[in-house]
Amino acid sequence: MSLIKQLWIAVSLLMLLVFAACVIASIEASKHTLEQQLQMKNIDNATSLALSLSQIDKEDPVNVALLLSAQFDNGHYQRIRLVDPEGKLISEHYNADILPNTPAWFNRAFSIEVHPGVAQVQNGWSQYGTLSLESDATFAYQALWNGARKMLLWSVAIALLAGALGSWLLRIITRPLSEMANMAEAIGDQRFITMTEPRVTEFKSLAQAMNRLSNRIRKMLNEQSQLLEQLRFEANYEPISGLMNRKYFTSRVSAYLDNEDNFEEGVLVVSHIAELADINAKLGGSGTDQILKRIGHALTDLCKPENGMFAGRLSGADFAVFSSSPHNLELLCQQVKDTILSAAALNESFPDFSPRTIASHIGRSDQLDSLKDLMAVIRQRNDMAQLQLEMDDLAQQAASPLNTTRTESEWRARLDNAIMSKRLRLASFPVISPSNTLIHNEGPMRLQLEPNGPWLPAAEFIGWAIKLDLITEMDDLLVQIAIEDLKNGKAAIGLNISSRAVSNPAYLDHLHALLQANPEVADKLWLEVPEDGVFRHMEAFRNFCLTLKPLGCRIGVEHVGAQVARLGELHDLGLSYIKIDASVIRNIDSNTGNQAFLKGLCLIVHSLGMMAIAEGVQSNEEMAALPDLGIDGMTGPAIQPPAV
Amino acid sequence: MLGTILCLLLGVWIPGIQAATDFNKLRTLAEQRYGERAKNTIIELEVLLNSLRDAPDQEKLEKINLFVNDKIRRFDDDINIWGQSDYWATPLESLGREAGDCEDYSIAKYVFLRELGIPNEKLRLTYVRAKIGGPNSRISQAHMILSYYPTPNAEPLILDNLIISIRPASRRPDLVPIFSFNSEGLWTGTSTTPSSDSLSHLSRWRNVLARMQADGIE
Repeated sequence: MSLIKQLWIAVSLLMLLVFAACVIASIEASKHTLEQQLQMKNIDNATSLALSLSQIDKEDPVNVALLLSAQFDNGHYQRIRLVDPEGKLISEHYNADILPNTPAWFNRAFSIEVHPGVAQVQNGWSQYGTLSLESDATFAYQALWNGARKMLLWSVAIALLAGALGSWLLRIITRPLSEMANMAEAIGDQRFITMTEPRVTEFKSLAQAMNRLSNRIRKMLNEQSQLLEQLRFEANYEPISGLMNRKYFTSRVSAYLDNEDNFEEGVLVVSHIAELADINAKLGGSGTDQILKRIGHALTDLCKPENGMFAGRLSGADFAVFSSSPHNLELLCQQVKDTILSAAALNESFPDFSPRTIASHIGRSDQLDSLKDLMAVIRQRNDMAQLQLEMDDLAQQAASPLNTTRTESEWRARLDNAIMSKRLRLASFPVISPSNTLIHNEGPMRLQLEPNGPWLPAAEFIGWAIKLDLITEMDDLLVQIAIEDLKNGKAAIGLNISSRAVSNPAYLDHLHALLQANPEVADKLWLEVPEDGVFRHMEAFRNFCLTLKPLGCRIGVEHVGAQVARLGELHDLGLSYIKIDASVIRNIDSNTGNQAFLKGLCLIVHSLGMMAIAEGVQSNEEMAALPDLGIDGMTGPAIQPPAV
Repeated sequence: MLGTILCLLLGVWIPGIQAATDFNKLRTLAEQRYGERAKNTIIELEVLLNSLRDAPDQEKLEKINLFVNDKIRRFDDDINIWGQSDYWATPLESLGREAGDCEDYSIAKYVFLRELGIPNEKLRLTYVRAKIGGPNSRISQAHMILSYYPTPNAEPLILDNLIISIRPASRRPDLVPIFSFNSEGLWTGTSTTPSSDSLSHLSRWRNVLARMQADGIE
């Protein structure tokens, strides 16, 4: 029972007691006064009647009877009785019909006790008799009853007023308490929020303690993620230039190439500094390091503005830049070359310095091995123009024929049609736990451009959908389909939510309404947002979590890896899981650097109360190594759905 | 509750069964209020009452009548004694001041006889019209005497301060009875004792009985 309710009951009981005591005391007081008055009336009337009787001639009993009758009939009496000195009854008048019209229980509870008034009647010097007289007490009961009822009514009215006032006061007093209860609940959910300190002293110290706890945990998380970031850097980055090392660069690129849902075609630029040995000989080790550092910074700066673009140092003299979106090859090639040239600043000592740079489209169909070939080619060949041509041909062949052959209006018509006739569905890739139970099925979008046509992955149409502003409708439709599937008894579904959708209030409303209408499936819906989207739209994502979390669905972050240092920022959102990017998972069985990193990451994730799921698991070796590092779930080409 | 305590403190409690008079208290009060003489009077009273406990009624009547008529030396109007037109004094007040009105004599006699165990129903305080100077006098005066009825239907004996000797009613042609009363029916039960009412709410009769109790006379 809530504190407010208990306080309410306590206050009500107390008030009831007080009012009952008041009512009873007041009735008793009234009763006493009435008794006094009746008693006085009895005595006085008995005396005056006895006085009258003493004065009259009592030889004729009619005189006595008349006097008694006159007094009895005209007054308010219950009984008038005259007995002679020896106790023999002379005359009695008694009104048997007097019945108070007040409830019997009331008369019993507050019975009015009045003794008869007694007076002596003389006949000359001799005693004539003793007169006793009782008044009619009906009016007293009636007055008492009316008073009690009025008092009860007032008591109830005042009690109601006091109750209203009391609950209002209680609410004000206990407001910080409910805030604190919320906070405690949030901490229980591993959401380490803080609250403003209330003014009530007792609450204040409690709130301070809880805030301190939250802050300490946040600080610890931040420190841990910083540490993790350092680990990640050491494992994945080349210390001199600060660029990705070859292993990590290759994993990142191949993670893109394997990700059919968000990647269609990218650009790879490779640049070879043939003069590096000469430079080293002339400027010495530290001079060369300075140049490499400058180049590294310049390339990092070049990549920074674009999402999905990054640079690496493949070997001593080979640099590479990858972009996950299509680019003008020559322009990007020239940009990279110019960046290296100006960063190296070798005009004086090496006027002829010019890095050999080539660019190539790189698509899903490409094997990563081509990267190795690419570098070999760059080292061996001087004829860059020829090379460029060859590579362009290669890219042309690799590119999907669909992309190039359709016009904008054709795309619009087909996509519209597909949405209208709901030719959308969710693919299904299992996410399993190390003990081989199904956690959920990841459900990326698939779409049929033509009826009975092939089901295309998102990457093949998403660009056009965004361009034609149809993506919101598709997102909405997708959620509907997911909920429909769940209602039909399908296992839990992991749904990708783009950062675009996260920051779209209309979409959020739609999702909220859908989940509210279908509360029975909410806990089987896992919503995941990519890491870069989360950190680029932090406020929108926070709002997204706070809106949808209470409905019972699970929210997670996918493709986590590049920005672990900011993981601490997610401490108060109550996320359920994160999916760790395939670039971290690639060859985890042999990459000890990444093993340490992943172990640390899982630790943080667990301390935030989340599950850690590995993405892009490709081999049985990876699969075997992951559980020991703390991974709670795995997905990827090597993962098979558990046998039912 | 408060009322009960108050009435216990004031001693305003006259139960049906006779309780002994608190002579210690009476003595102390007499000395405090009226001095040595009054104290001695109370001591005399105590001695007298104690000697009469087992005496026949007749002797009780005579001795008490004598004692009261003797000790309340001055017969005067209330206005001269108490500054009020009609003040009912307690026996302590009357004995203390050694002065009293007709009802003060009667009350004192009534109380002392009750103290000696004469039942209520035998005693009546009686309002009488008294003819000053004999039965044929034209001057009459409001007066009060104490009547004693040996049996309910018997002729009463009259204890008076005008004619000191006790005589039967038939031998008092100067007195015409008007009305008589005693304390019967006044204090029956407990719930209707004066309790929280101040004495000013009581009748004169009840009032003097209550004040008597405060003095220590039960």
